[in-house]
Amino acid sequence: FLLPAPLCLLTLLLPPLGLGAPMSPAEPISQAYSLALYMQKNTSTLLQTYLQCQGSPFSDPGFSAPELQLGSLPPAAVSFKTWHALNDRERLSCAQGAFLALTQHLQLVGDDQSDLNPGSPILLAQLGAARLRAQGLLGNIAAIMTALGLPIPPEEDTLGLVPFGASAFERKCRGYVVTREYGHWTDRAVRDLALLKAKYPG
Amino acid sequence: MAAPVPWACCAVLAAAAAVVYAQRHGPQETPHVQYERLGSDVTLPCGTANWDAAVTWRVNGTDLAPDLLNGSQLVLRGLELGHSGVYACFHRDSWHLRHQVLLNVGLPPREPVLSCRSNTYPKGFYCSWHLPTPTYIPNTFNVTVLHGSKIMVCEKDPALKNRCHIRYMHLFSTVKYKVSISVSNALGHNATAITFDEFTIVKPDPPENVVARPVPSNPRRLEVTWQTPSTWPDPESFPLKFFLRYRPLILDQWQHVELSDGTAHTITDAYAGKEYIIQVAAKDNEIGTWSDWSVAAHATPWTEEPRHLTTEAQAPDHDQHHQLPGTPTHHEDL
Repeated sequence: FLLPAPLCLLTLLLPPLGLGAPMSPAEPISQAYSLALYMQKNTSTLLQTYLQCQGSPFSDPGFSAPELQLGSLPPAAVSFKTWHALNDRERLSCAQGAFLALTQHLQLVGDDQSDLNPGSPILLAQLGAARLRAQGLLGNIAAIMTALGLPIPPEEDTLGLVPFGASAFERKCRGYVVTREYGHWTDRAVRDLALLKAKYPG
Repeated sequence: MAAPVPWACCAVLAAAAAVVYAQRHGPQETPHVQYERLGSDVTLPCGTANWDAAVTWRVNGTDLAPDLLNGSQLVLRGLELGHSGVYACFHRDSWHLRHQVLLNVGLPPREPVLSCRSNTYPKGFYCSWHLPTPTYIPNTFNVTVLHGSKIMVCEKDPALKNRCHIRYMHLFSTVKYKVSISVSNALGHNATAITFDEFTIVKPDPPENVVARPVPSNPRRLEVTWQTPSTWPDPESFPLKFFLRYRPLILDQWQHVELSDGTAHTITDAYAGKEYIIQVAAKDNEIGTWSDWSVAAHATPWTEEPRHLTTEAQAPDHDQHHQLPGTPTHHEDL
């Protein structure tokens, strides 16, 4: 549950493989950007729905625990200087790693919530939709990386050894961090893709 | 007999000098500074003088009427701003200065008005403050900024004294900022605080260099160009969208166009021959609020004949050409 998160910059250890002449990345970037924008419209609803279904203290007005993090999920927060200085490979690898972790964590949260809140079909549906969209975005990011001739990092298990004995409270906290970071990563993906869109105009 | 006389003279002179010195440089070398509240009553004692001492009071060199006195004390009722000044009390007979007070009439501060804004997202934001009503006396402000639980430095603005700047630490997180300000002066203190997410205070500066030009051979078009505000640090990763409004000067109703990218637009439905006023506003694509409207650009669409273009309808007077010296007339070419 508290494994160290794979740092985005560790992906630099992968040797750069030439995968043939890069195609124009403008089209996949544009698609990814549209998807990220669409996802962004639903992220705060997902978080609010999630919190409402968990009972106190999560459902208390103004609930916020920004310093609560999951070791297995890379945090979206980054300084402007660092974020701006990322090269294409780092930027896309970070996003890829984050959304891969998010798809896996959203699956876990979906399972937890089926158990904790079986009578909340709306929440379960929203979690399922979020996971599918995150998966879609992963596909788009892979397409961009291919077009730029960048190696796509292999899919790995980000959850690791999830302790089955996690209490109901721990599971609710976990779901809060996942739905919150899903929103933050979507905001970041929108900015990343806007930057790439400007860099590789169609 | 000659020797003791000079000694006596010296002694008298020395004593006289000492008395003069004591009169000029009395116990109150510098005036005592006192702050009092507007509208209140104040009683100024004449230093350490007895209540029944015979004294005269002066304010800024002007004598004060004795009916204001209560014994040797000066009583001022219902203080007004005009009461501020240097009050001095003198021993009535010797004109020896006994006491001086610099009186400042003012008010304790009301709750300050604090607002924060980012026109340089994502580099940072600034906070500005002011008091809703003046206090008339010096005030000290103290600003503290918390990002979550971390204390941040608010750097004073080099030019504006009621503003300070904070650099953003993190993007893509929702740790709130809490900005608190306390103000105090000699008569009281007050404070306020605001809490917000970084993205809610984003408001760019207006677009710059808005230029509108007629399009040759197109009597209903105007071409508008502008630039992103120079204060916006990264328009490529944090693109701005724009809102354009235009109307002919003779009408009150604005036309609006929202533009999601680019810094140019062609108006295609302008009324022929009418002067237009055009303004542009900017907003980050995702967050925050619209900027103020830019400085207005004026332009009139292209027309076939050269003539003085005004905003009133022109009576047809093609035969009377107002020729400015040096300008060629084209009517022979048509």
